[in-house]
Amino acid sequence: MSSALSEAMADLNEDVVLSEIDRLLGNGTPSLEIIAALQEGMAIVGKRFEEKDYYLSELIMSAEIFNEAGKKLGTEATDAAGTLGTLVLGTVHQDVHDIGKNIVRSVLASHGVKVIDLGVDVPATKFVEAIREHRPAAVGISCLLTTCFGNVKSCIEEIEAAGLRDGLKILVGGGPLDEAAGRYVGADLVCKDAMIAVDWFKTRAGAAA
Amino acid sequence: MAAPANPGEAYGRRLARLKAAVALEKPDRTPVISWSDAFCANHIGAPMSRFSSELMYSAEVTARSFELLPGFDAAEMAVAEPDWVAAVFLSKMKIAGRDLPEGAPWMVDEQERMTEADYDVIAQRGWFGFFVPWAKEHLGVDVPSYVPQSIAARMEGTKRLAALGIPTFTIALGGGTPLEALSAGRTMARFVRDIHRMPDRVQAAMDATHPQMIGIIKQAIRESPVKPFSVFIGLARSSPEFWGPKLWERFVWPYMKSMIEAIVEEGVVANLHFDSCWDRELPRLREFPKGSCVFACDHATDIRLAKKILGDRMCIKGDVPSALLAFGTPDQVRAYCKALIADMGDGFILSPACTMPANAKLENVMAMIEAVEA
Repeated sequence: MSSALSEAMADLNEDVVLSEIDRLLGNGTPSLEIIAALQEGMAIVGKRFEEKDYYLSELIMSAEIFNEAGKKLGTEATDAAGTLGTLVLGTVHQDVHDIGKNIVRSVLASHGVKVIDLGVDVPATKFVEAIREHRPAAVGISCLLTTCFGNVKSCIEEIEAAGLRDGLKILVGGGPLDEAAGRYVGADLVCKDAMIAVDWFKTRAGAAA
Repeated sequence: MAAPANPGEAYGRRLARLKAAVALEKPDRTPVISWSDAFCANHIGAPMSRFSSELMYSAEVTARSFELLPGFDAAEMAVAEPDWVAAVFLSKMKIAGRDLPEGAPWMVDEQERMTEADYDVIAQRGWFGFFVPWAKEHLGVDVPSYVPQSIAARMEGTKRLAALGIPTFTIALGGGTPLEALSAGRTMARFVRDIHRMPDRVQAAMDATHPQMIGIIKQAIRESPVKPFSVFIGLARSSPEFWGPKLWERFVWPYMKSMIEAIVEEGVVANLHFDSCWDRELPRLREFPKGSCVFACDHATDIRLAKKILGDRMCIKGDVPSALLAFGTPDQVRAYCKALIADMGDGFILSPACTMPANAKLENVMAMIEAVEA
């Protein structure tokens, strides 16, 4: 594994990340090894975020660099990205805000979670269909408007009514969505930031190992 | 409910209460105010589509809502301008009746509308040389014809409220940092990438924007038919929650500092409507003159920490959570507000965190108002 690549990823040095990938590919290094090095760098990014050495912009930037790296590595990266499990993600019906959702998508994807992004203004039926199709470990519902909390609640109720709730973790997040609101909508976990979701996937993977 | 028998007396009493809080003196009781926004339409049963799109109608509806809630000491804003708010942030707003079903509150439709090359255009032509033609082409907003309509609506709203004995707390003049507009026009992810890849180009655009923004705000304050009590500076993406100290010192602090100083120089209170968590940089806000600013926080900042760090320098306003107002009970709201009032002491204004949620329960709004009474 390339420690230079991991360090460059952790330090958000995009030019070095991309040139190091070119060098490793030129040497015949397998893509999966390169991805492992990138993910090791992403783990350091996550640790620095938790320790307040990094902030949201660094999380966003790390995901941007990882995406660029992924383009060089082709489908191998996508295939390898599902090792921690799958998340079906969307902003709830009648809400079009997507900044938080997109941060979650990018950060989780770069930590090895396969993310099925349903977009914004997603009706409950779409969540139900996606859960049936992809059998995710978790569903992430984003909501920034108090006027849409009722939609989050009814979405979770529809997932339950469809018989899909057992074994499925429901994560929610969004500015005003606090613990009390999380209880109101019936969520399992309120994510104040993306790293809480990453930690949940890592803990789950660790428990399953 | 009719206007008070002596609106002038009621206006003066409320204004004195607000001034005492801002000056960190002891008011007769804690003032309570609200930026009621879309709640006003729901409160009086007005169509959200009309409230969101007609400036004069939003002024009328806002005044009618406050007339029914005379316990408020001020309306934070006299008019709702969703399309203009979006335009200032290089974005479009989705509004009821046009893009959303009737009754839905407006929301920003953030798209990548600004290009990398636009940084250079701004640096060369200045903000208005870029923004005026850009807004017409990309957003369909004709700035020269819109601005007089907006000023007229604000004056009308302020006049309607004053006739009810209710002061208007603040006026929005587009004050903020260049980062707020540029990051919305580019989208946050693209902007973060730009900051890392081309920091000098981004800064050149900011440096060309900022003096013009300060100039227009100072001019607007001087030419305003009614001197505003406070001028609104709305920051969210400039929050330290997004940026580490090094980037924040370069791309946020110099701009917000000079903007605040410019407003204070005009003899007007700077209303720092700062969303997201500002805990890390609260000590920096001590640099502004005592009694010149109001720090308004949205429940992401630790308001009691703000009191501890800033309480002897500036008034603090906040922070009844949106979820509590929309889904809590009156007893829960009352308990939250009473505890806050007790902990914050003088130099405090009770208000919703950010705006009043559109679906706040009326009984919860009443409980918040009643909480300031001993």
